[in-house]
Amino acid sequence: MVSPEVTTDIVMVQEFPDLARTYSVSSVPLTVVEPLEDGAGLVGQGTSVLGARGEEAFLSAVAEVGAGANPNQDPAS
Amino acid sequence: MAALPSSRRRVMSFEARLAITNLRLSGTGLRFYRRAARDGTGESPAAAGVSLPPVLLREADRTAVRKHFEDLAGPVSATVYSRQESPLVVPGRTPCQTCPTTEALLREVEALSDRFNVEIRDVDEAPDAARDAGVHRLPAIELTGAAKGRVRFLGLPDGHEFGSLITAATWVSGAPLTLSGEAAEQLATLRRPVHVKVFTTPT
Repeated sequence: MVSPEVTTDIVMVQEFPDLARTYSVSSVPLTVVEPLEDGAGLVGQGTSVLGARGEEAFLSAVAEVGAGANPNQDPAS
Repeated sequence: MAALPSSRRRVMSFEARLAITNLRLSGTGLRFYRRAARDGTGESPAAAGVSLPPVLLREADRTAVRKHFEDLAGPVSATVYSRQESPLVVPGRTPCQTCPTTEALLREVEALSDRFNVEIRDVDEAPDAARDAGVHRLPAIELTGAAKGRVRFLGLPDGHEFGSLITAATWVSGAPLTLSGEAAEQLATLRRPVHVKVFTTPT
């Protein structure tokens, strides 16, 4: 809610077994943080937070992924 | 074909009348939803003079949502990407079993606050809108308001997730967050777009 760079999807896992398989979801809640490119997360390039781990663990994951170079940004700017 | 006994004909006639009545009732809702999706108005059923009885939320739920929505700091738009049921089986087209219920649920929530507006978008009628929004799975609910960032719910938000939807709507409206100032500063410095997926279940 405080950053325009963050898109969050709340996924009802029972309705999307293909997504559950892709992300090897075996228990919930599972939070996956990935770089966003062309409207979709880059599978396999993110990090996961299992369970309700609190603000610190979640922020650490978001900061880690969001700290990379922006592929849509001009490197000269 | 042999003529049916008169009593049997009466039964069939009664069933046929029931079917026609149901079709008209559902047709009223479908026509409204399709027109709103086509026009992109997101007009509420009440504003359009269409009365759709609430059937999903109990009175206690509606009271709780009304109370929660008193905290909305501004208007919230809920765009529902959905697919109308087809009487035909189309190869390659995946039916969306929870789309009708999701639409009905959001319409019921919409009736509880002037600040919560719902727009239904049929992905078969407007595929570009779904593609531009990065929506690849149905049903999808995207919440937008004064807050930055995007929040979407994939699937029918029932059970505990209904509460998450209502809470998310409040935050999206620009209402104060529980996030610490330090955390907000950290998030404001992100250099590239991030996609967060929270896998959950209704129970």
